[in-house]
Amino acid sequence: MASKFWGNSDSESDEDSQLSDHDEDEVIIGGEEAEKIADKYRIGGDSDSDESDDQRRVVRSAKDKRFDELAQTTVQIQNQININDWVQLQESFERLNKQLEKVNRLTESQVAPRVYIKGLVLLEDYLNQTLLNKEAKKKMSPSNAKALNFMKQKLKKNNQLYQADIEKFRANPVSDVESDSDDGENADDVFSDDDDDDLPEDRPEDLSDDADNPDDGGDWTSAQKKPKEMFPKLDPGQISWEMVDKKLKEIIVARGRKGTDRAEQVEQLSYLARCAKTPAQKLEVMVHVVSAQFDVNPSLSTHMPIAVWKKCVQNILVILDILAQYPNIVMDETSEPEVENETEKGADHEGPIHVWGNVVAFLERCDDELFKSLQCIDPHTKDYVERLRDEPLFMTLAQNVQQYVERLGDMRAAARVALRRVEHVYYKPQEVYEAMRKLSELQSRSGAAAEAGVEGEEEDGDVAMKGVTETKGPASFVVTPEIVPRRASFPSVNRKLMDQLVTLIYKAMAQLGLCAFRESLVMEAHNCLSELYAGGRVKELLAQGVQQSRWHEKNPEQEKLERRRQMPFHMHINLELLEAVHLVTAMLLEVPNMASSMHDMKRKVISKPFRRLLDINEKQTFTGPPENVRDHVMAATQALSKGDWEKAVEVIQSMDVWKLLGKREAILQMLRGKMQEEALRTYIFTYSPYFDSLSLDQLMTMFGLPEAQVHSIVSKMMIAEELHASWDQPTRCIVTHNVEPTRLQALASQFAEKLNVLVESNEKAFDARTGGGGLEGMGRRNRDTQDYADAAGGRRGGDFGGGRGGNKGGRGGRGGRDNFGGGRGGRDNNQGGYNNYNRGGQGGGGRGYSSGYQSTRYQDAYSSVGRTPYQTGPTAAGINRGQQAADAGGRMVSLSRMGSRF
Amino acid sequence: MAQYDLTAAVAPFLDRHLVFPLLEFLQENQLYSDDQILKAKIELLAKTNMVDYAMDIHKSLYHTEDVPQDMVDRRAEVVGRLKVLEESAAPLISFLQNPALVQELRSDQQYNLQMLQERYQIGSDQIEALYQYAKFQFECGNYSGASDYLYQYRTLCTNSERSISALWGKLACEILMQNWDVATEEVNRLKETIDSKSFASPLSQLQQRTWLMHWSLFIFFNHDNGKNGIIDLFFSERYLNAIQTNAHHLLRYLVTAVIVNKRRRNVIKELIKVIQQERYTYSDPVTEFLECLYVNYDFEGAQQKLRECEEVIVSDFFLGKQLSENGFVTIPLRDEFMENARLFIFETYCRIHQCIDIGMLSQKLNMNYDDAARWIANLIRNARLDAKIDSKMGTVVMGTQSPNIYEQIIEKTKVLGQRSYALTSNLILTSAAVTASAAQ
Repeated sequence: MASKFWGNSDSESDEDSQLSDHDEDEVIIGGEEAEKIADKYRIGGDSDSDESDDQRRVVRSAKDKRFDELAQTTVQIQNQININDWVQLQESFERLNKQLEKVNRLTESQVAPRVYIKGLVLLEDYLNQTLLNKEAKKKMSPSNAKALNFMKQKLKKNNQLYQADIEKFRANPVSDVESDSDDGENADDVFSDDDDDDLPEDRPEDLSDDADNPDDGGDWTSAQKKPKEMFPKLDPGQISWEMVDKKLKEIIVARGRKGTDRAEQVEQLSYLARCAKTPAQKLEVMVHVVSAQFDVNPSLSTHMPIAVWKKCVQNILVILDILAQYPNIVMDETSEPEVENETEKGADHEGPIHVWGNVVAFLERCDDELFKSLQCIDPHTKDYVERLRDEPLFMTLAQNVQQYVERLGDMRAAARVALRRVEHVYYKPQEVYEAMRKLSELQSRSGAAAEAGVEGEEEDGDVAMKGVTETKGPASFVVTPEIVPRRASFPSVNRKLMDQLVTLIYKAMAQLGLCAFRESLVMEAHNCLSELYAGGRVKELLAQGVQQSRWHEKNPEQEKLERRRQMPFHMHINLELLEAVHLVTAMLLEVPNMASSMHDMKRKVISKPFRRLLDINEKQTFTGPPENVRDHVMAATQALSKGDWEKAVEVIQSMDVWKLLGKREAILQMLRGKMQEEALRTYIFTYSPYFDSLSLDQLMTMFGLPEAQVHSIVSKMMIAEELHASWDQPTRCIVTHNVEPTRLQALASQFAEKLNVLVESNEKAFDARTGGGGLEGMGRRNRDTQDYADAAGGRRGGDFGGGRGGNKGGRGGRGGRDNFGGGRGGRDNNQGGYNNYNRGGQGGGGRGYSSGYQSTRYQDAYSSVGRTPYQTGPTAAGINRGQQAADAGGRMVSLSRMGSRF
Repeated sequence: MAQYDLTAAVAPFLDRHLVFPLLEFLQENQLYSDDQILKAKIELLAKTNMVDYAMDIHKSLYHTEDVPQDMVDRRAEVVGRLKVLEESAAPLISFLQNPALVQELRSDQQYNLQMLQERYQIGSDQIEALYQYAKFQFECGNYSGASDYLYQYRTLCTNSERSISALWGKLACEILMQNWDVATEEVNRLKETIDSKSFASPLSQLQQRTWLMHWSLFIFFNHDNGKNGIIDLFFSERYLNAIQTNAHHLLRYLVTAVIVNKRRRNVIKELIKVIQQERYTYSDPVTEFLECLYVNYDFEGAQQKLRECEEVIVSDFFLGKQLSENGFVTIPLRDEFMENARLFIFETYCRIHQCIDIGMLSQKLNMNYDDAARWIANLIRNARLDAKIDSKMGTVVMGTQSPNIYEQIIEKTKVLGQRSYALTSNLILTSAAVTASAAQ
């Protein structure tokens, strides 16, 4: 249907255009529009049929898409030829060229695909045919004739470029399936593009020897032609300095203008560099070559073609060579470009020659481009590994630049370069770095050792992929504060910088966590990692991928921004390992914690994500054997909380991820030890209420720990008052003091606490009424509780929260006054006040508490507020009293929580 | 014990002259060979003006009567310079030595300067010369003279940098003259200046703090109230920071002071935190002792460390100060330390035990059975321990301290009545006042 429509509209426009002259413009526009519509419909039709016909969506790569477009345009050309519409043909031709550019950018090759050549051939044939047919020409409408003329010129010019290909095509027009041949050619391109590209813009003689394989003659001449045109009648020997200078200025002026072909500029400039007379001039031209190469890719989100990048690095190396060879040439950014013909001075010139340019800036740009390309390339392809192999090349360059800059004594610049180098190195484990350095040395020495180099590279790439996670923690930590202040001037903190900082900090946190884990500092490791995992956005925080958001669609702008923020794959921290470490540390902390506070109402939660996973796990009716990290940890948790440490250890040790951590045995050993300890603690927490005494020897055998350790652990628990027991030294037993209150006692104590709260609220009410400061000791107490209320309200943010906190007091106050002032019975008073309080608690405290619960920071503040007044009171009364007081402080908390339940 | 010797760590933070006592101490203790120490002394003296002393040492080191030529030259140079400085400072010194004239000085610095300038032609040059002269005197080892001049210089000095230098100089003089009371004042004055002054760089402030702490060690371990002083100074936040960033070895002195000082037990918790934080950079038997006792509850280890501590204390300049009484040489700090440390161990031990065998205990405390029994009995009598001795079984039985739930509840509710009462009475008072005012 689409093609029918399309055909119709086309013929219409054709007729129109033939009908009359005076509305020619309109007609053409109409034609265009029609085609646009047609285009739209065609696409629509395509996708429709895709979906409706076979219900299968073929995911095609961008490359394939581009090729399809090319092919489609060719088909269009064929159609237009059939109806002799030159206006349309001209458009199609232009589109064809544009699409070719796109394709070439994608494949990073210069060779035109076969489809394109086919289109050209079609056009050329038809053109010749039409030109021969004089009568038909005469019959044409003016617009059509105009287009025909235009095409005649354009096509000739264009086809010259592809003469060789066209001939090849003519020789063998009936090729096999076109896409096949395309692919084949593409593959060729990938491998041969070095040769192809190096040739045309050949650097000076010193590098030209590796370019002596001009198998692709056509390409060679065509590319070479343009630069040659600049000095048509001269061979390089006759060109003088002035000519080069003049030409250079011409080219520079053209730079950045609309319609200037950037790639062509590069070619022209490189040709000029070959012709340059003095080293200084050559340097000058080279500088422009490099800048022009950077200009080739104008977009911020896509990267520079790899081939161009490589050439660019080579060019910078050439610049460095020149600079090293002629130490009297000084390159700086401040010198006015070409004040007086400085570059004319020859190699033997004494005294400094100033040339404008900045190698460090070039280097940084190179680095950025490398980074961007790594961001863009799919990390699971061979391309990525190929690209990674360019890193040593860059490192060589950076080293050279640094040497040069240090020789100049410009320490600021040296620091900038060094920073770039550190950024490339810091995340690599030692072996990778060694391998890379070796490779780098090999490369810089000569091409002869290329084979060995390739081997090294292979290894390098592989190890880099695997070993990324094994980062040197301290190094990255050191790097972070280093990078942060130097990245950009701080006053202009822009969004991008902030994002980078955040990512860096989180990366450092992750590394630090892994490091602490390796050093068996469980608590520290968990603290580091829990922040990462708190929001469940690890990937985003580490810039290792974008989380799909369920709630709101991102607009393309945001997506682009995010993509630019991503870390290249080889710099990723292995998320599975990170998760394993996080969950295992959480388990080690949380299992005894859960056991200790099983019957306690003020349950302290150490790791929320872990608890949530555990809940989910417990809800399952059937649990299969563990598969992923979570399953493993959950299984281990189950075992550990039963005191079955052997099984827990077995499950944890069976995880694969540990092999990424290095020193695997030591880590497993450490884990084993930790789990034994925690199992012991859990056991004691869980079962000590049911024992009168526990034998030390029995504990030792149960948990496979040495006596000193068991003794130390249990003693610690006693001192920390986690275990109400004491040692009986002669019999080597732990004697428990069963202090767990009976139900009645617990209720009584709760009741006492509530009474306390009641009195407090009464006092507060009184204070609020009379303006505070009434009673001496009470005033202080009240202020403290008031603080608490404020803190609770403050959590809700802003003035509103504060108002709420105040409100609570006010409301309670009114209630209190009513009760007292009304002079009803004491019992009723109590009742009324009590209810009132509960309402207040529900409104302010209860809400505040539950909302504040999520944030640990708030909890800290909270507990300190809750406790201080009590502890400052009767602390001298001994340990038990102190404990009691602390308990009371804690219970007060739990009470206000209960308040919300009533 | 040389491995725990802190002289090398402490010396960089001290003045040249302050290092001499340390070296003397080392010489007495025979930790290093005499030759080494004498060489170190000569090196120290090379930059000072105490050339005569250096010559003496040189003689005893090489057992010769000859003195190298450069020392002789230096002597001549020092004497010459002394003359020059003396002359240039002479007018001011003669003025200051006349008590009648000094009376004319007032507390107003501006006035003083003007007065000197107008009446005695003593300008800033002379004042500067006084400073130089005092410094030179100090370099020559004439500490009392230097101290006097510096004191007077400070009243006239307008340059704040200089006045700090003068303060430091004065402190050094007082320390070397062993005037501990005056030195304590100087330390306080310096501390104020350092803390109040806004230094150009926090780094130099940190450095000065570190110096101050090191210098004050001399005072704290000699002055009567020093053990409180050191805890106060070192535990103040900024100085604790300085210790943690710059001078971890000072922890040894802090720990010792805390252990010895019975009244400052409350800081132990904080101290342990610091020790654990800094464990990776610094640890010695003294800090490890605390760690064993309060982190790992490893009593065997604590015993072991305690024995090492003894040696460390004896061989430390600041801690191992000897006192000779009636021909007996005692190291008071060591005895105090050992006694208190033992008490620490025992106390902690009792806290987690219900029943302890006295025989075992006596072993641990390095006493015989009867002594241990007596010691415990004393402790119980002084109400420092809630326990009973079961002599039949040979055990100490701790009193159970399980909290009584009834007591707890009574404790909680006791004050409620009173508080409610106070509340009502207040209420009545206010309502009465309100009605009264309404009636009026």
